[in-house]
Amino acid sequence: MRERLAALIAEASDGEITAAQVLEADCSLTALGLTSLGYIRLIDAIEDTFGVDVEFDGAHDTLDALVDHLSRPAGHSS
Amino acid sequence: MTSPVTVEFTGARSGDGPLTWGQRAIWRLTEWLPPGDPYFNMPWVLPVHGKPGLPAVLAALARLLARHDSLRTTWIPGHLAGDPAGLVQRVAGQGGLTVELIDAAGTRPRILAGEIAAELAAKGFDYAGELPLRCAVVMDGGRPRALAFAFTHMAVDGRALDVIAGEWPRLLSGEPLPPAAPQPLDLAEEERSPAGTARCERAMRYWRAALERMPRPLFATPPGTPEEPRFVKLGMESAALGAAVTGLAARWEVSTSSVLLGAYASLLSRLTGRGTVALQLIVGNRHDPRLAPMVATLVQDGIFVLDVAPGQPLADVVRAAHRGVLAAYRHARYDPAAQRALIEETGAPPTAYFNDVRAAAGWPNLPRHPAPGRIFPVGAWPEVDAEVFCTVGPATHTCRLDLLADTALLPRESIEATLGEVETLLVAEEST
Repeated sequence: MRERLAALIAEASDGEITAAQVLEADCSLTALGLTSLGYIRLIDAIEDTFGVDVEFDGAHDTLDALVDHLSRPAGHSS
Repeated sequence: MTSPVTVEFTGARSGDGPLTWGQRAIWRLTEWLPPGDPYFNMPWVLPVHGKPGLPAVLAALARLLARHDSLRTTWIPGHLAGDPAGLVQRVAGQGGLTVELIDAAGTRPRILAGEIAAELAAKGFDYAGELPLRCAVVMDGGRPRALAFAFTHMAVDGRALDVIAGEWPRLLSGEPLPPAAPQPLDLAEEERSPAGTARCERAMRYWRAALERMPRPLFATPPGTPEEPRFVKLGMESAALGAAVTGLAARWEVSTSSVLLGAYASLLSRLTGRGTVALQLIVGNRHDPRLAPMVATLVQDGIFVLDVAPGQPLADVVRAAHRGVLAAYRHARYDPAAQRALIEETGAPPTAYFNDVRAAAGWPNLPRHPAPGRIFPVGAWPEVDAEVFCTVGPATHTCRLDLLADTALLPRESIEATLGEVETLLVAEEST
């Protein structure tokens, strides 16, 4: 899950961030250099890949938070 | 004027298909207008650089039409299986575009092209019987100097014109361009696939939650007596505001658009007497890198809802607005029929709009010593389909902000005061 998400983040960043950087980072995705548009692309890709709804409440700005959100059954839509 | 020439074009494919969501959104708007009304036509000028000859320019036009299905499309009444829309997009494999050649005769070619583009756009398109663009070439000294266009909004939006301008040098030189994919027929198919249906359903879940929590009507207080004409638009140009917004966007790590939206929402909350502000946004839908290079109409309405508490620090309002606007952007691709059905159930949103038309972020040409703003009248109309409409203009040397309002809700002096307050609020915040 972490590796898949890191790959999606790298893809959404348009080559600005590598998957390895995401996996090593101890800061937010914004601090890593993910732009607003990159963030929109990322959440779109997560929803398409995992079939869930993700809302922008400011709580999903790290890899760990995203992994946590996707691991919770409540995160899945019916 | 000399006699017109015909640009023959041949595309890679032809065919019929259902409309894209973007085409449906524009079609729905045109349905409100009398037949032949040119309101949604887009005049456009493309300057011709590098002194190419007329044959090279006409060949570039042929390549442009060959490359983009949207520019060879007509919209024909009819039904396809499983699609109740009553309209079909038909892509022609080949055809001819009639192009007038006009001699500048001593006038400045680009200015003349602007006037001709406005003339070309002044007449409504025959969607079923006419190509979706009209074109004239302005000649000077025997060479083409500028192209005047009118497009129907069914075929292009503002960003699509940026795409054409970006491709133009290579269309002219004949250098290869990356393949143009997807095309609108592909997009319409994707939108009807299970993934497209799921995307629309997600967007409608977001819209439903937004529609259910927004207060109505827009103003808690009853309307007053309007002036004549009733709808008034004032504009402000302020380099000082541009500089302040640039500084705050960097400080708060948000876009300049979100800073303006947050400040405007905060003021609107006070003016309307509502703790929750709902705004409709005009969304370009180009953040998906696959769609960004499309020559097509992708623009649709987004919906934005924000809670504003009295006395809440502006930084918090702006950060919340930034998250809110990203959510609104992400849910602005949907089937307009599904949205219309939802609105019939929940009630329509108030007609408060915010539109940032800038192509680039920020204001790259601000002066070194930015001056404070001046406010001026832009226009007045007896009828407009908006209670309040705030626009961030395309200027790059100053922040241009227009505010249109129904004077029954917001009298002229309040429109002026609100524009001034956006400036004073953000300039003061930036200097703290």
